[in-house]
Amino acid sequence: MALSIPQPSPTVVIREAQDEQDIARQWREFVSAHQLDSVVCIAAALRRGVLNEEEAMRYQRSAVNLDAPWELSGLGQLHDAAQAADRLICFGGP
Amino acid sequence: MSKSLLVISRQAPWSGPGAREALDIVLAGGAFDLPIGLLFLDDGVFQLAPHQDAKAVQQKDLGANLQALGLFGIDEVFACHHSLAERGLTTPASAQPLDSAAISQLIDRYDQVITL
Repeated sequence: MALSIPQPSPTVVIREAQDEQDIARQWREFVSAHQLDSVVCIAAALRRGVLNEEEAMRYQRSAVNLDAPWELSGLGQLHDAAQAADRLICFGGP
Repeated sequence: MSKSLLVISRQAPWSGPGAREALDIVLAGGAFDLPIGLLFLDDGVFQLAPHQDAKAVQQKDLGANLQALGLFGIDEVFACHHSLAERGLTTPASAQPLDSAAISQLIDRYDQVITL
């Protein structure tokens, strides 16, 4: 499972210059190739304007910038996943 | 038996959402009765500074969430002694100060660590 407290990396709207690394695309490929659960913290996402179609509709926002393979879910799922996982890797922190 | 989790909070309280989000992870874990510890490190120790006026920066007070830790069964709350001293902060009542050797032992003692 990959869980993201969003930096911009899960969003679909990023368009990198051609000679620059496209982390959003690399994440999607990684998640799809390994068939991972890929979850974005919903509170953190809403706070940063990262919305999937369902949330955009719920909050009447005109833009959607998150879609499959990413799902939005709560912190309970982080703890659930941490309990089930053999290891937890944290990166990209301050 | 549940795996234990140490959350290391390194962000100043009003520099962004990091401080609140680290605390949210801790409180959510407490709500599930998981063995959770919290360590304030680097600028994170500013969260323990007294007399903060969150309203002045149009923020919600984090103090109430900090005080809720006990209610959620979180009594393993620590602060880096070096980080406190570097910033001229006195030892807070709500967190146990640890030197760097003790912090290494603390990190070793937990199954998992999240740094925010």
